[in-house]
Amino acid sequence: MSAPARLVTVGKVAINNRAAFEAAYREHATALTRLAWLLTGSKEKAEDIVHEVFVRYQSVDPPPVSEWSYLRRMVVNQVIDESRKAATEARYLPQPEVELDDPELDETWELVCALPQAQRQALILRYYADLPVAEIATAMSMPVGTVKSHIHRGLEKLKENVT
Amino acid sequence: MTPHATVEERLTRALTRAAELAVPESSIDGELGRFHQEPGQAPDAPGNPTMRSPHRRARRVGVASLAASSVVIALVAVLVSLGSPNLVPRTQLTAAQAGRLACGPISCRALVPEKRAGSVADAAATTTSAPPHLTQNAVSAVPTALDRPTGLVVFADGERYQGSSRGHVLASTPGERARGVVYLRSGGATYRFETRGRVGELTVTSHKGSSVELRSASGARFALDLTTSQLEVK
Repeated sequence: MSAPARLVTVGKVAINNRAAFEAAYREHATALTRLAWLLTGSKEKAEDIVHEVFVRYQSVDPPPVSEWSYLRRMVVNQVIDESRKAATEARYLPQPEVELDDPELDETWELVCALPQAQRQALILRYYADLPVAEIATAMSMPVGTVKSHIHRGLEKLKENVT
Repeated sequence: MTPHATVEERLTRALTRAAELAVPESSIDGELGRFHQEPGQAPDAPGNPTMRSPHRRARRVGVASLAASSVVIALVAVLVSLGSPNLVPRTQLTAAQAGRLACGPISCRALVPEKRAGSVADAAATTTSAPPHLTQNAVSAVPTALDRPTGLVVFADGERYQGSSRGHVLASTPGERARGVVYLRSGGATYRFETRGRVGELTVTSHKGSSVELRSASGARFALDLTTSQLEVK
């Protein structure tokens, strides 16, 4: 019989399966950091957010049915919360500077970076995170219609400017 | 990318590609170790995962504070430099200093006309009165006639004029705002002379001893005494 997983306590809640936690981290941390990076424009901030999410995730009991969906929602909520707290900072997010080595993708990426933050976040959540509009609306604390409007306007700007 | 790709498809691909490049697969490898917590470890102990973000924030705050401090120090340094030898107040300029400023380390008597270049004196003057852009000495000499067209920069009456030591104004650009103040720049150092009154655009025409002769646009001639900052009409 193998040795039982070591118990780790965070606060007062016991984590009864470190192996499962590590597996979840290995499976989702990169994708979550990428999502957080797209939403924040800062890798350091993205790593902080993902780290905090996993810290809190350790105390989730019982485990969620869909681990990925649960963690993704936690990351999105955390990003939105931090955006609200630092409204001014968020409004002037640094532009994530990456070269995509494809002129069309580079052009699209530059256009996305130039979008207003709400439009950019809505598009990222819809077309990268693949969240339904209703869930985006909940995360961004906006009516569904407003989210649809952000997505529509963002796409329109892209269509107007892509060559 | 296919030519028929929709904007939505391009968007998804661009976001995916950018995220992959910005956050490579291996970038979080070392992070998992930070979650390992020894049994009995204090919640606020270093290495506790819950403390990571505050630490990073503190580091960011520290870096920001350091940057802010640097800016403040730089500003203070600039302010201090206004009173430093790099910008010599008139009251601190002795006759000897004024002489060096006006004529260089050699006296005006040692200067020879340009057409006599090649003489020993000329060679000495050329050597000792290096053009401002070639010297790092903050108190080096004002370029002499032999150093043209590198020049003496004259600021006066809220405008900035650049002229050679014995020539016409070469450029005029808005800059300084103080009126009645003539600045002479030489060898990387700027010398400030608070004169009285407004004289307009000035051209350095000549210099001797501890004074510089200037001419205004209207043709009026002035002598700026570098030891007293007196600007006298000649």
